[in-house]
Amino acid sequence: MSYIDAVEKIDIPRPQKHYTEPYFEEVLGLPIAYRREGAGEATVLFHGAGFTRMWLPFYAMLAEKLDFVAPECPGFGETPLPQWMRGFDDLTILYDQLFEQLELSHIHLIGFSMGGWAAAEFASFYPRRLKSLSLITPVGLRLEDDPGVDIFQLSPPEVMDRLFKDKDVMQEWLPDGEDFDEGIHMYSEFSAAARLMWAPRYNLKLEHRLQRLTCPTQVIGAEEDRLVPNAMSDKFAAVLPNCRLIRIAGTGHEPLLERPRELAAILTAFIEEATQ
Amino acid sequence: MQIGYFTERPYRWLPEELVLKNRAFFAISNEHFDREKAADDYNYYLDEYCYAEDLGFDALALNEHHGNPICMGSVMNVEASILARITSKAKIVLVGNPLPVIKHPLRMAEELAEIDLISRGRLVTGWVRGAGSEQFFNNANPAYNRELFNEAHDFIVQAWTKPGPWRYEGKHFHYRHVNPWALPYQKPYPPMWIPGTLSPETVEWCAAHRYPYIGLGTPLPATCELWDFYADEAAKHGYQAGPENFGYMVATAVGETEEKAQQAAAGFVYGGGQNAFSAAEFMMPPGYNSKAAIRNLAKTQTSVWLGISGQKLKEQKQGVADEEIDYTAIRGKLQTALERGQKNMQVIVGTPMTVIPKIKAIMSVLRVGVFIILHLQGPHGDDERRTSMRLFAEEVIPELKDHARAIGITDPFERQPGSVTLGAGTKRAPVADRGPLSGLGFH
Repeated sequence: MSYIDAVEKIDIPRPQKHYTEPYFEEVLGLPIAYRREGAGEATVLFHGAGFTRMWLPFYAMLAEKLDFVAPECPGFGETPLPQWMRGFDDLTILYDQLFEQLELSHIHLIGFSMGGWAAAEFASFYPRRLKSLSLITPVGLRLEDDPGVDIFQLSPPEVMDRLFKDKDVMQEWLPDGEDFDEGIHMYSEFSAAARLMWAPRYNLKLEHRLQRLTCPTQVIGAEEDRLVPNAMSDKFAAVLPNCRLIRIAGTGHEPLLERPRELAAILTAFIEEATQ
Repeated sequence: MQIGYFTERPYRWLPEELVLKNRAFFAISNEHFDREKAADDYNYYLDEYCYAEDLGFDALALNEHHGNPICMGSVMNVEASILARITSKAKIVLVGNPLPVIKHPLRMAEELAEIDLISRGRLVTGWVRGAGSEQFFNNANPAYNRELFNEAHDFIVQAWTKPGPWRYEGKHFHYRHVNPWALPYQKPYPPMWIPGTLSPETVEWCAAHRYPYIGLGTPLPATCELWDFYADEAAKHGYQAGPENFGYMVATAVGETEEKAQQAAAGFVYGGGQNAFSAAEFMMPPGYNSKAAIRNLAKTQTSVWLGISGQKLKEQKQGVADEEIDYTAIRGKLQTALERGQKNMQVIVGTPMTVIPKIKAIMSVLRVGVFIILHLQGPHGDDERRTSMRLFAEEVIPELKDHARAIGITDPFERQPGSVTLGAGTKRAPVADRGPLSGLGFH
């Protein structure tokens, strides 16, 4: 386990709600935490930069009809951060190896927010592994006119405010302000995010590389997204081959938490269609 | 004993309400920058450093910050180059160049060598990681901050010591032809003093390299703990740490009367002072601190002018809901903070007569070979600044030098830091004296 930063290895706190014990699969010496439930088409979701360590209600909804797998990115949740994880290319290779070991040779891939970028990267390197690709409020392309806000320059309350349109839902998911360990854990997850997304905040090569995709693709934006401009989902939809663009009305950047049922239905239907 | 003069070179023309409204100096739009006034001030501050040398300060200390009117120094090597030429005796102390955000260590090695040559060996070069806001300003990935720091430092030392040309193939830096023609005047290279605000990782690194560590206005009891940590680390490396390994910088204002001194000190909390250096979201960009350091920082109320406190983070988290800002109330709070800072001895204010015993007490507790004043902040005029400097130099410095001799203080030029060997298994000697602390109100 020499890869892992010994300094950063402290106990990982467990959220009070929705926490489940993950499975671990050792890949390239790194124990990757993942959760997996259900039967049907093998479907993998790459998470965003938060709300880890949980079996979200949205995941359970997807697992009703799918063999649903949610790995945790190095530095997030309970997957340690190895020194060598420095970019999306490292992550892509790691996930490819993980899928090999879990015998997930052909999958439907879903990526949310930061995970949308990760999914786009994976798709650009391994297009033939994918039966479909769904990106939910993704980031990763350059928006020349208005790049939107910089998530790294926002205070935690501002991030939460921008994530949600529905403030009642936000209240449900707010971390406990007094929980110091959770605060430090969130900081360390953002540190892993900085390795992936600090600079540059986009990958100019993606636009070219994504042209290789042959599977059905969809981009799901959120009409009231105040974290990432809608121009981002527009641009992904324009770049991706065979793409449909859906914009969920009345929701913010976090449709997984704000509109789980609606989002799960969209994804399940798309995956069923792509499978036929 | 080395007595140093340091000023942040504040931009003196900023309306206070602008800073209070922004909650910080960092990120105030440069549309408020007045070129004529800034030109005057850049020249004034250079003259002020010459005045400090004339008054008998041993060292002139410079720093830099980016995008921040609290400090006009954006490229300290520019100012240091000029001082190298227009001063003649004083050490030019850089506290310090932010290596991870500059990202060009070969260029840095060349610049510093030229400064050392022009000054004929008066450069003391220090390094810092750069404040959180600096990582944003320079788009330096904070997740690699310490890696960049260590690699840049190690490269610069090699560039100054290993005959070229040679090729450097590192992790973050790559040079195919390292052969800087200009090498530092001092052999093998200038002394390095490292300023810090109690990050244990930095102290550990300093002790390993035998570099003096300069505490920046850190609370006295916590500073004693850190000195012990440094000395324990030093013992592991086989040497006894002493005053030559330690320095301290503290905010200082001197006046002809107590009242005038308090007026001069008011600038330390102008716009919120160092506590308003940058807003909380810019202080700890992701990866900039280890989990352990974050834990320490957030749980410790540090100082009135250091900018990070548990309370502040909490307030930040809760958010300021009020649209109406009550400036009078804020100023009242800042005045209270200033008084608390004086009580905690993190801001030294008074006439020479009252300032002398306070600084002597600090020297007795921390046993530092280098003592640097952080001089007036805020919009004070030239005369007020010079009066405070003159009173300090003429009346306080001689007393401090006598005191240093009386209590056996050695500075880094009298004794090479790290030169006192400590045999394996030998118990190290104390480096701080906590005796006077309770008399100073610390428990």
